[in-house]
Amino acid sequence: MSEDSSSSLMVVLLETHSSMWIQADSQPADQRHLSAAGLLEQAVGFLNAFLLLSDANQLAVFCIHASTSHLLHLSPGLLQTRAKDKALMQDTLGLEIIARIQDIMQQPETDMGGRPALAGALSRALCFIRGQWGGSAEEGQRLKALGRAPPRLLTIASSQDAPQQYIPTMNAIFAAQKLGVVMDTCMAGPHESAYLQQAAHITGGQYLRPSKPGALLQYLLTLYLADTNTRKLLKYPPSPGIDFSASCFCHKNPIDMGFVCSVCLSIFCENVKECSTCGTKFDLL
Amino acid sequence: MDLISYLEGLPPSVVGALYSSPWTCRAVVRGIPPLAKQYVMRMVLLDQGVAEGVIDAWPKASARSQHATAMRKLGRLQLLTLVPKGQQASVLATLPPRDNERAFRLHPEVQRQLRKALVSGVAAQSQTLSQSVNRALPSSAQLEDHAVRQWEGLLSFLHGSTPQPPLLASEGPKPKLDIIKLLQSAQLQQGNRGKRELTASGFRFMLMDTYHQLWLLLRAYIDLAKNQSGAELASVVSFLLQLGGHEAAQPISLASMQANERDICADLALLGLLLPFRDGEGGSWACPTRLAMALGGSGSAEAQQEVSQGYIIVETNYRMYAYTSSTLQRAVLDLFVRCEAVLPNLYIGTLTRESVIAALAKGLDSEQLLTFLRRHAHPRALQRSPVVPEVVGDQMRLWQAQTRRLKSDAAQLYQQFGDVKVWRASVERAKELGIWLWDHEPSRRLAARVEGHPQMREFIRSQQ
Repeated sequence: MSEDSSSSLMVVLLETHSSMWIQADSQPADQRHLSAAGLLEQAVGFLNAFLLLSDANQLAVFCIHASTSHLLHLSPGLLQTRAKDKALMQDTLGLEIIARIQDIMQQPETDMGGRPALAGALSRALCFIRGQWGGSAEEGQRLKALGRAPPRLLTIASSQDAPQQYIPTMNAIFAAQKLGVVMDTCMAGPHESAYLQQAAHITGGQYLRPSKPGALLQYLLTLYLADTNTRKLLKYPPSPGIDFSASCFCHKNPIDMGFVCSVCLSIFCENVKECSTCGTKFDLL
Repeated sequence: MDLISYLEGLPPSVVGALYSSPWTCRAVVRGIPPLAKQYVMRMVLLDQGVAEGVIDAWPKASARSQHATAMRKLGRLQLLTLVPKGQQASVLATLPPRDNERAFRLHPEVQRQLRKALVSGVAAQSQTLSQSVNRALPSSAQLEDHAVRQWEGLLSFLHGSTPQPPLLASEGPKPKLDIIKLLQSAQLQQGNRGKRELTASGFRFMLMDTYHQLWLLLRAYIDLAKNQSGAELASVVSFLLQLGGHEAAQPISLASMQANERDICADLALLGLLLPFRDGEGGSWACPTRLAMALGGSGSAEAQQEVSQGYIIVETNYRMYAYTSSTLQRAVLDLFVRCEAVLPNLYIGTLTRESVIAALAKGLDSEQLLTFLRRHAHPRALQRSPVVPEVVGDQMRLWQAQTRRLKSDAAQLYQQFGDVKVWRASVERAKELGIWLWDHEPSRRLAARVEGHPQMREFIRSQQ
């Protein structure tokens, strides 16, 4: 029991936001740049590799889309009814995911210009993990006492951080930390992501922005395939300097220095008379 | 015992042929240690070889022993092959490059199959079934029933609680498999028809998990098949593994198979791995049961859980409650538990010194007994940690240690030393050589291990 305690469930968040397609495909396709289709292809290769490694391994894939998050794939073992699993098992994993994405792209989006819903997708994935793993706080504690680790959460994103989502994203990260979920994050786009860096740092996962995105699959296989138990045996690259900068609560600007409420620790970029979060009056100034 | 150790013993040409099947590759990758899995996956996309120094740098310093095990396993399974000297140029080398460093690459066939699997997954071909087949499709309860009946029938025949090997009740091609011969060639049973008895490995077999039991029997089956019909080993193995790759209730059409595959199917139906049935138009089909799916698995704990429901609770007072109505499971427990009461759905017994030592005398091991108890623990018992109370586990280990208090060494006794000085020098010499066992001064006797006898003889002669 002790040796087999790591979880066999991996929850994956894949970014499928339209800006990713535009941004990725405007670049020439070579080692340095990865087309959106290439990104999907390589991510699916990684998912296949994960399923290949053990018959107990299970997968849940969600997409991070504009303002929404959809379920792309669920391993048959996680489904409730048999009828559903027959319907879903017709295609290979890759074809199924691509078909689902096409469906989603064709849906009339209520908010086409919306930013990728990273925070929403994270919350959804955490809710899903909570439902799968234990279901209640007591059950989770019991599993933890038995040495069972909760599922892993891997995020593959390529868009820049959206400062508006700072608070919900950080809340989701802290929730994951409390659950004991290890968050692996991979930034396939050209910009570093402070949020994803912090997510991996806080929850004990790995963050990576590949210097050669064209070889994404090799990075994924090397860094993210091992479960938490096997990781104890392998060397990992030292974490790079992590960008801990916060965003202010009033204008959502990323700041290096600001004002912090002495009661609730809310962050502001300018001196305010009253904390907008907890209502404390600062009459000293 | 399982697939992996079977493959380790095969010559390169045979293994090469086996690895050309995606099912074998999948089963092998699932069966190797976790660290070895990571190494394989790191190398799967690389076209060039990887220098040994690079691979050695992957694990942490604290994981040396696991690394050595993983590398040994990969080597023995021939998953890693040496890059020939001439092609060293295209190797991912350490910096700075060392002279004469060995370099490895994945077995080319395995690499090809794994790359394919990454692109498309190793899912069984899904097929559209006609209405008549769908209507005749056995329900999951029927499948389960068949698997349990055949497999338990086999085990209780092996154990001796039923006189006849299981027969195939359902329709379909008649199996040619001789169960008695199979059990004997697997060295689980000995004796002739009149008087059969379990061997020591047979006793151990009864306590194994289903996955290892299956593979042990199938290995014997593969060998039998090779001797009897000269069937191609590779085709038999990859067919078996392919079965394991099927989803439950995904029927296989017997009509599309070759004759030898159809024979295998019939034999496997007898073992409970397949359930044959006929569709409305008279076509022959077979449906894999959960036993067949266990084949392609890795035998991991979680996969095991699905194969069998736990039923055993062990208490700190050595009492054991087993919620089972199966005569087979009771018979297995009788091997090492003193039965106190049997109720319709409950078996109550005590782990006593006598019952456990009797089991140890039959060739079982206290660790095996404990693993058995843990593996079949009742879901309620699983919530405790440890699952089997520590005091019970320790006591069982102590009982085993007691049976091993005596140890025998082949020895040579030296006596009638004329001079006490010679005796003393001989004792010293024996201790120097590391073969000293016992000495007794008043009678001037000395016992030493027999392998040092020539040196001792020389020495004593030279002293006199």
